[in-house]
Amino acid sequence: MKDILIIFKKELKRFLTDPRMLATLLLPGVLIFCIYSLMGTFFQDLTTGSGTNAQYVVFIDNQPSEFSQFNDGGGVYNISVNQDAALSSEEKKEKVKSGEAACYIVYEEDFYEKMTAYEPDGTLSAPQVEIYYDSTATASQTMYSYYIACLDAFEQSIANKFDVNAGGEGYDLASETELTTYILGMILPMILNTLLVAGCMSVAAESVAGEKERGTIATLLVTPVGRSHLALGKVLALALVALISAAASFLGLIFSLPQLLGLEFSAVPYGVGDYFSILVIIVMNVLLFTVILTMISTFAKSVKEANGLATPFMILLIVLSLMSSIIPISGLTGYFIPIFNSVLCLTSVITLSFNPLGFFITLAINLVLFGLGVFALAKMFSSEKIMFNK
Amino acid sequence: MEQEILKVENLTKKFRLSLRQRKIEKTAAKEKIAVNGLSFSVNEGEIYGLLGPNGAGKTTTLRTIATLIRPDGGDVYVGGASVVHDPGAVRRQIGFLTGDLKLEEFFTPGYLFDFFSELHGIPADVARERKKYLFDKFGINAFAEVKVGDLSTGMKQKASLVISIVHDPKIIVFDEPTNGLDVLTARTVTDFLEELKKDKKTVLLSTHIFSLVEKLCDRVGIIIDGKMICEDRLDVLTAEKNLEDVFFDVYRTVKGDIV
Repeated sequence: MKDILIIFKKELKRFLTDPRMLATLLLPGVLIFCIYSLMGTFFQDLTTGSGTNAQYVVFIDNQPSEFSQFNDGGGVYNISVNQDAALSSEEKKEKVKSGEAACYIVYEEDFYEKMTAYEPDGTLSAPQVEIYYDSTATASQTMYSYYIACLDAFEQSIANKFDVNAGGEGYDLASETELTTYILGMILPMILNTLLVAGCMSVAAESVAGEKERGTIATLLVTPVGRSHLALGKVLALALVALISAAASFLGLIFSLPQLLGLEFSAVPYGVGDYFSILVIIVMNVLLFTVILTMISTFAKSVKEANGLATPFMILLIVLSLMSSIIPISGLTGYFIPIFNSVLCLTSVITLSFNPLGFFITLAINLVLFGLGVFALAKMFSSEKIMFNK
Repeated sequence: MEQEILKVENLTKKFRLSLRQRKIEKTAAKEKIAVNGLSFSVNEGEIYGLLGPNGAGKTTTLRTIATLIRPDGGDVYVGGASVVHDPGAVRRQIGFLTGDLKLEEFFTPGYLFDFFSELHGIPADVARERKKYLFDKFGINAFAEVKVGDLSTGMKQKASLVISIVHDPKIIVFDEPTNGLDVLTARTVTDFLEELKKDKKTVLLSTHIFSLVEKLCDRVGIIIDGKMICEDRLDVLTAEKNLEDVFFDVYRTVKGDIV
């Protein structure tokens, strides 16, 4: 028992008194706190609408006055009810589909009277409420859930006197392809980015930290090659190696799409332009990930430490990849946030809602960041403290 | 008149001490002066020995000469080029080898020779001739195409030595080249240095091995606490005593009795 305690104390001393190791251990926790706090704020904004003060436009036909209290949004949502009779029901559905309206609710004529007259055991059929929405649009999904909750609560209080969307299909205005691409847009960027960063990490950690560990980096530093050239040479070589891995990921993605979408290859809704955009995004990501991971590798004393320090980056990347599909960022704002922007681009291509301006903003920002990364790397290569920290 | 290849002029280098280091060194000072106004020069064709106890500032001085670290004061000139203002020109003129510098184990000595030749901008035909000359002279051919990782320590050291002079530098700087080596491998280094002496190469050598200095060096400098305490021709210094005794006399004068 005493021996165990001695070993235990020695191990603890090793882990808890080394500031670098301690930082590696604590960094994921700090990162999770920051990211989850941020996500919490976003979610709160999303549910309360306070962050964006978003207004939800809802078309309602034949709403009984007794139900109008639902339209106050429960004090959470800012709902603008449109009861414009000039628009046909098809036009209203089209507006829901295009995102101009959140949903379209149709109460049967004389709904309230029919509801009060209805007896579950009687011969009359239950009055109907139909809610048309688009499950691929966050605002539409939010309003649909809200009205369903209101109607369910009301229905329970009056002993099942009406039906909501009793017809089964046709209320979700999103097509099957849109729904599939929407789900793909949620998961593919995360999977793809995780694979890309894993590919970059396997070579970047070894590249500088490995050379420092083995003592071969100093042999290079005493040659006449400039530090910036050394940094760029390394990053470009690593990027090329990682690109080979990325190309494999890209091909894997292309050829798995028909299976993922449940379609024939020729029926996949993506064209050459979409594939090209995905390829450009992958290349951009690889360059950016490589330079970030090479910086981590340069800062680390050993390959092990480099891998440890890269873990928080990987967590951040996965969370950012997930957030793009959960958190709606209006306009072009999201395209100015590094890494998140490439996820947005990828999602937009996959969900067939490609934003060319956002794509070019992402391209420009990521290229500038890549350049800055190489510059910072050259500075790191010139730093005695970083290059000779043992 | 002898031509000066290396000139160290009032060189100063300080290092910031971390809290842990201050605790170890039992000092409140936030900085440690590793090299303190050091000056010396090495002439063409001369082998200069730099002696000093551990922590005297030898490695810091040599790393500054090799442009791996920047001086905080003073300057170093190699063939007239300043390590502060033109480190690239300095790197083109020096060969640097220490026990810490290693070769990538994945590659062969042949490949690495070509690689470093290219980095130094040596024309392919010149590099080819130099490779043949050096590989023949130092017996590298037998293992030129074997991966460094598969070589014995002696072979690795030989390959490292030859690659450090791939660009036929004006001056070759050795920082304790036999440190940590077994006697056979250390002999490889000694033989290499003797070959350089025969070829009238300019060498700056830092070592703890007095016999090596006595065998090879023309001039010797003794540094303690980052300062040059004594510098002269080897034959003058050892006119009455051997080098080891001279060193300890100097050490006692500066630091008191050896504990």
